[in-house]
Parts: sequence; structure tokens; C-alpha cells
Amino acid sequence: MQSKIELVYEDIDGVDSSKLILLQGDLDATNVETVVENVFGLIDEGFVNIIADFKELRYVNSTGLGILLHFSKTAKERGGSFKVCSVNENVYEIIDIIGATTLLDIYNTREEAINSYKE
Amino acid sequence: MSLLRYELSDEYDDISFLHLPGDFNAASMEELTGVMQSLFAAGRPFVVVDLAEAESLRGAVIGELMEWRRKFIAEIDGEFCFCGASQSVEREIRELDVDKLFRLFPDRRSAVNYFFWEFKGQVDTVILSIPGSLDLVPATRKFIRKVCEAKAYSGRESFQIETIVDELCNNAIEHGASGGGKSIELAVAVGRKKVDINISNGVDVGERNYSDIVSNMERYVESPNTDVCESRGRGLALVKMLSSEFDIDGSENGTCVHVTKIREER
Repeated sequence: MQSKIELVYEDIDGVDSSKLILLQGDLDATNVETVVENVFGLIDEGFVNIIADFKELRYVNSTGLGILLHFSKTAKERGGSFKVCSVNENVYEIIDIIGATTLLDIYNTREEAINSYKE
Repeated sequence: MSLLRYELSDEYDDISFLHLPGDFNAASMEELTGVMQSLFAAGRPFVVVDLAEAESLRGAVIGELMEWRRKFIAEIDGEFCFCGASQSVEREIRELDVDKLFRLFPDRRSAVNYFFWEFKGQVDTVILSIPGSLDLVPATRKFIRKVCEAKAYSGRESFQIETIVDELCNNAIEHGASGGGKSIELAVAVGRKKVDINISNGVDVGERNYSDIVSNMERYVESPNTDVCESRGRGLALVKMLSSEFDIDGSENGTCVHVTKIREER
């Protein structure tokens, strides 16, 4: 049985070409393709400024982290950015151990991530 | 007449059961002291105070038990705990904050398990044979996390162990047991001080290419994939960083990874 992951999209007021994605559940090798299809779908539609809200993301493994780095690189190549916010302590530790905190733009809260676009 | 009594467990050499019946009070203290002296002389360090027949637990009795507990701990490395208390007696215990000192268990079996786990180093081992499908990994890793949580590992360490199991299972399936009816063998031994994880991909690689496979895995451990467009190639490095000990070898059961995670938090 695959891990459950839900993606909930929200608009971000005042930020061009943007979308916020609330990830709910576990991100791992069994559902990474679903997330890839959805996020690259958004980027292809022109939403190159993306905030991934991890408030309800319980778990992520190395495969999931790998695609987050891929999103970040692709968004930058398209002139935008991929930001992450509200990461729980356990997930943050995994991101940190793998060395991805220097590669991902991570913010404590959704508000901080949104405001970073307006500065 | 008091019905105070004790039993020396036939099954366990170092556990005694002390029954405190009815409304055991200060008037019976001399009797309690005598029983405690007998238990101490018997040299059985662990005392389960069975409260199933207790109607009340007076402060003087608790004070006496606290004093004997101190003596057992100091002189024979022992411990006391309570079991079987009714709701009203348990409430008395909690109101007096005695539960900070004596662990409370619902029954005798739970108390005995506590002593075996905490003091005798009992290790519980989970052995799973998992068909080579990635879809079975989430349930496996969550099950192991629950086992660790049930053994009082912290949420953080249980999460780390869940991550280790996930990465090792994914790796074993992708590089060994994927498809063809093959399976991976996972053994997780959970002890009070450490968790040992052994995983085999069940593929007999043969002597000829075994060293190539192991050296290839070791390369990923030491030099994880740094290409941001590559989603794989970081798992084993992550496992090594989360682990206290990490080793790869081969046998007739295939390529095996051994991981030890020493407990950090108590």
C-alpha cells in the first residue's frame, strides 16, 4: 500500500506566478511520482514561485528530498524559486543531515516565506 | 488479622510479589517491616507490590516502602513497582505524587515485563520477510517505529529508526529483490540501550561480483549523490549518518547491511 500524500493548492496574494502547496502525509518512494507530476505540472503552467508548506508533512525520505532539490533547481532555471516552510523537527533533522538545508530555501512560517517574496 | 503476604516467584529468580490487602495501615507496620526484611534476606532485588486487594494505601505504609526501596537500590541494585491498583488507590498514589517514585502497572505481567526490559537487558526481535515491492515498505517502517515507541524510545529516535528501515528496505528492494518473487529479510532487535537492524536482499550474488556490489554501495555511503536532479543515491549515506555503527557484507543470503543505533535519550 502506497503512503498517503495529499497536495492542497492555495493562491498567494500579491506574488506573481505563485502557488502555495500544503503537503499532507508522508513523502517517500511510493508516492514521489505523484508529487513530481503535480509540481512540474504547476511549473509548466507558469507557477514558478512555489511555497511548499510542510506543516502537515509527517515524513520525508531521501527520495522525497531528492525531488525537492530538483524542484528548487527547475524553479530557479525558470526565473522563480521553490521555498519550504513550517518543517517539523524530525523532518528538518533529516533535511539537515543530508545537507539540503543549504540547498533549499527554508522558512519557519508560511508568513515568513510569503514575505520573502515581497522584500 | 492482617493478610499481608509475599511470594517468591518460581518462574523468576529475582522477583518477589508483595500483597498489601484491605486497609493496610500504620498499625500493621511491624508486620510489613518483618516481611521486607525477609524479602531483603532472600536476595531478590525486584519487588512487585501487588495492590489488587488493597482498599487504601496510607502515608506511613508508603514511607516504609520508600525506605525499603532505597535500601534495595543501594545495596542489591534492586527496584520496586506497584501493580493492580484500583482506580481509587491509584488516585491516592497519584495525589501523593508517589507515582514519581514507583512505576504503576495495570497487572503483574506488565510489571514483570518492565523489570526484564529495564534491568535484565531483554531484547525483543522482530523478523520480517518482505516481498520485493516498494509498496510494502511504508507499512514496514511504520510498524518498526511503533515497536520502538512501545519500548519507550523517544519520538525523535523512533523517527530516525523509521527512516533507517525505510532507506534500507528501499535500497534492498531496488538493488536486489525487486520483482521475480524475491524477498528481503529484515531483523530488528530492540533493546533498552540500542536497536540492531539487519537486512538482506536475499539475492545470492556469487563470489565473482560480490565485492563489486559492496564497493559500489560503500561508494554511495562515502560519497552520496550531489546532483540535485538525481533523486536517488543519498539513502545509504543518510542511514550511516543516523547510525552508531554501519557495515555492509555479503553471504549466501545476499548483500547484508548491519546497523546499530545506540539509544541517546532516556
